[in-house]
Amino acid sequence: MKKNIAMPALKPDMKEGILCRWNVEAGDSVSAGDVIYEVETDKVVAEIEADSSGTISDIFVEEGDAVEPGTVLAQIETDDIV
Amino acid sequence: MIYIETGTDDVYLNFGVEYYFAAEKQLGEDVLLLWSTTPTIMLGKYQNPYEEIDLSYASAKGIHLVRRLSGGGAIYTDGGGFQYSFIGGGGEDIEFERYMIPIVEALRKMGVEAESSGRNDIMANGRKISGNAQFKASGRTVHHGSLLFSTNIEEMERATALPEYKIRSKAIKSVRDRVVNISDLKGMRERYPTPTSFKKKLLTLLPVSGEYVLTDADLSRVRSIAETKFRDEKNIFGSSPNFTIEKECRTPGGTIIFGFEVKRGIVSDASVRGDFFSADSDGVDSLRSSLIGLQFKPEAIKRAVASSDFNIYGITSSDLSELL
Repeated sequence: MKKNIAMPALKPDMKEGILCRWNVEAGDSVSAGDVIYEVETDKVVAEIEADSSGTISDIFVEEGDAVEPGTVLAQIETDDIV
Repeated sequence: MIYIETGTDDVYLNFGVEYYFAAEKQLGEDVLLLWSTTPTIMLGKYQNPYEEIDLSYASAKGIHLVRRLSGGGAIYTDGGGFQYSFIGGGGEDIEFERYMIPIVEALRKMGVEAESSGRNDIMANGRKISGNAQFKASGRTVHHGSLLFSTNIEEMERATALPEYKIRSKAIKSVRDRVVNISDLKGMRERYPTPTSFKKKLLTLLPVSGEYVLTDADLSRVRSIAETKFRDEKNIFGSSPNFTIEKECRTPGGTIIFGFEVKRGIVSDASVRGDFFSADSDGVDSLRSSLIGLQFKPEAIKRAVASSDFNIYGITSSDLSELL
C-alpha cells in the first residue's frame, strides 16, 4: 500500500521545516523505526523515523528545501496489507 | 534530575558526554551538564564552515572547530563562557521555555535582568547573553545553551568574520546578533556572577536529586564518541550541505577563477576560467580534472594545483597555489 510521508508539525505554530538530510534514496528498503530524514526548524534538529516498513518509492523534496507542515516529502510502498 | 561534572574543557569530550547520555546510557532521570571550553567555534549541524568562519585565522589561533548535533548558527565559546546541557525524555514537540526558565531565574536572582526572547535566546539590556538550540534523536531531547560571562568578544567577531568567497548553498546561515558579556552589563562590573556562583545558584533552583560520577567505562566510551563523532574532520567538513564556491585569483597574467561544486565534502565538479591567455587548454583541462574527487580542504586543493603541469602565461602552478 502506498503511503505519503509528510513534513510533521514539530510544534503547533511551526510555519516551515527545512529538510536537511535524506538518509534514504528512492528504492531503499526501510524498517519501521529507521531514521529516514532530518528536519531543522527554530534551531532544533529532529531525526524522523519511518512509521512503517517498506520501500521508498518516490522522493519529492530536495535537501535544503523549506516546506510547510503537511507537505508530502516522499512516498513509501509499505509492507502493510491494508 | 541528575548532575554530572564532565571534568574537562575539551569541547569534543564535552559533546561526547552529552551524546553518550542522550543516545547510549540512560540514568532513568533527566541529566544536567554544566561545562566550558577552550576557544572554540561551534557550528550548527547543517552549516557550512566555509560560509561562517575565517578558517585560516581560527587555525592560526588554535581555535577548535566542532559541529553540534543541534540546529541554528555558529557560536564562539571560551573559558569566559559557560555551557549547559539538559538531556531528557521530552516528547516529539519542541519546547524551549521549560529549559530556559531556570537559567533566566538563576540569572535574575543574581541581579542580571535576563529575559527569554522569541528566538530562543536569553537577552539582557536588549542584547543576547545566551543562545539555545536542541536536537531530538532516539526519543530523547538534548537542549543546550551558552552563556557569555566574560568571553573574548573581539576574538569571537574576528574568528567568525565572513570569508571572501562567493558561496551558494542551502546551508543554515548564522544570524549575527548583538551580544554582550554579563560582566559588561551596567551595574555588573563589580559584582557580576561568576560561572561558579551561577552554577551553585542553578543547582539550588533545579530539582537535582544527586550527582553521577563518570566511571572509567563511561570515560572510555565518551573518548571514543568524541573522536569519531566530534573531533573527526570528516564530520566537521564532510557533513556540510552541498555547496558551490568560487575563488578569484588575480595574477600578473590575468584573473583566474576557480569554481568548485562540493558534495558531502568532496569536489564533485570543478571549473577553471578567467581572462588569462593560455594556449594550453589541455593543461587547464587536466588541472580541472585533477581537482575532481578531492576532499575539499584548502591544503588538498593547493597541493593538487601546485603539482599540476599546466602553462598559463606568466603564472607558475606554485604561484597559483599560493593565491588560492
